[in-house]
Amino acid sequence: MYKKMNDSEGFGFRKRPAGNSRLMKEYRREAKPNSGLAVVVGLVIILAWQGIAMVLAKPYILPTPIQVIIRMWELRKQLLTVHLPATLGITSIGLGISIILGLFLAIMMAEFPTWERALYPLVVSSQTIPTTAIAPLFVLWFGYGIWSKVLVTILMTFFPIAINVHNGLKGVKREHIELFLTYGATRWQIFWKLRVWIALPHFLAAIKMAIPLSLIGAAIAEWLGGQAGLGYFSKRMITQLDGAAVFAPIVLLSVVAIICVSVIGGIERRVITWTQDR
Amino acid sequence: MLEFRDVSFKYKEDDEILFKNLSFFIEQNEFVAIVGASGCGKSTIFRLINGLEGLQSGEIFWRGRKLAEVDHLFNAFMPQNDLLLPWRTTLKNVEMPLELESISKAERRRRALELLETVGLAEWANVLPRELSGGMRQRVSFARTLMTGADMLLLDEPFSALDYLTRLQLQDWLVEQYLIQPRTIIFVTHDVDEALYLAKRVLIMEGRPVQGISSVDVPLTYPRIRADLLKPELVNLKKQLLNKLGSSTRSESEVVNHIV
Repeated sequence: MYKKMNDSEGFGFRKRPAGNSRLMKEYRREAKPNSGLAVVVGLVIILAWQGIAMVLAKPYILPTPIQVIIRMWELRKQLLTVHLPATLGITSIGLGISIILGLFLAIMMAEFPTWERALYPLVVSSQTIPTTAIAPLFVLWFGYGIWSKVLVTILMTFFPIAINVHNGLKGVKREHIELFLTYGATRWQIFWKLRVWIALPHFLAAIKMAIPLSLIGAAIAEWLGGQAGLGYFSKRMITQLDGAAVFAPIVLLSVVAIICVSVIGGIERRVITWTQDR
Repeated sequence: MLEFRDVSFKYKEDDEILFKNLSFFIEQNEFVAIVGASGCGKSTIFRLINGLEGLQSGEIFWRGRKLAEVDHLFNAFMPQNDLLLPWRTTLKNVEMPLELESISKAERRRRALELLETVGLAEWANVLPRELSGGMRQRVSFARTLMTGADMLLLDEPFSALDYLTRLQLQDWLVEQYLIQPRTIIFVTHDVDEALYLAKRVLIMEGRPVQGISSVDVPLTYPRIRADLLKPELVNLKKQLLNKLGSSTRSESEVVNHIV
């Protein structure tokens, strides 16, 4: 009766990999965004655009998608060697500062109630400032150099990072903290071995959210005042009534955002293995 | 080994006192079950022992010394929900308590593997908790509790979230672990059968709010079998315990029928 049990199958069978049941598969199939359908709808929209633009026949207002692609190809050298690097530079500096600042504030607010009481309402209300309206002020104060643009980018991206990471850090179960305390864990250990791990998925989600925002922020700022960058390029092309060339940087920005977000998505899938439903 | 002397406790946010004048003593290597209705403060006893709540009145002694003067790490707490860290493998979860004590990686790995061997889960060492069943997770959690090397184990309804059959199997398993290496174990449960089947002695928290705690020896030796619980003296004992727990809303005959 009391022989040493070593069979792990004896009790507590290994859990069936979650979500392989027939109903679950059906549910997934229905719930999953049907990418095939999305492609069809996308194609219809592009075809409609092509048709309307051809009927309208005013390429300086509405170029056809084909014209946009051709124009992109013609302008590839300028776009890829001058303007894209300029925008990416501002985006990465802004995003980098935002991450450092956002993490710092999130950690301080999560660890020290005084910081939270003092800053959380301000961080939240900072989001009500219309960035596009305040951006010209930055140009006025900091000139046409990169820092006014970096500042706009920071203003756009700082919020989602700070708030998401803060929520993650605060999302630790009380029972977990107490268990750690009974093991004699220090506050520092609780932070590194518990809080950080709970916050990590939130952090990556925030980055995914912040990337497109940072590109938009950079482009808006360049539009308002600059000598280079995709926003600036688009503005210049408007004055030249070159419709297709106005569209080119927009397409390029979207492509860059999609690539960056999917890279982070890939990292996420590789790193956050424990929450994935299989 | 551990003594409660006239301990009373009240949570700040409650109007009523939770329990009053609890006094009991637990011997070295004794397997004691504490039973009480839900919300009667069973878990609070553990919280007092491991220092999560401060003592308000009365005194707790550990090996003759006041609790406040001893390092609380003499005890190890096993929670009701396994509370395994989902991002850590089984092995890394078990290593946790030693990691917090900054014991070298090789050493803690060796000891964790050894423990996983004794709980029969060595082959699951490198698997994430989500791949384990509820029963396996509790065994990992138990191994983690043992890993602390504490002299006393505080098990807080460790099997209550499991299905019936798994619970029975884990009860046998726990007794087996206890017989392989006797330790002081306090096992909190609201299940009288579980208490009688596992423990040498049962402490009953009586009244509502709890006015005192009484102790009953279980007249069985180890190893036990389930049928032991059907012996007349055990059935009688169970009836007594249920009465003490205040299941007095039923008539006595009903209680007996329910038991048999």
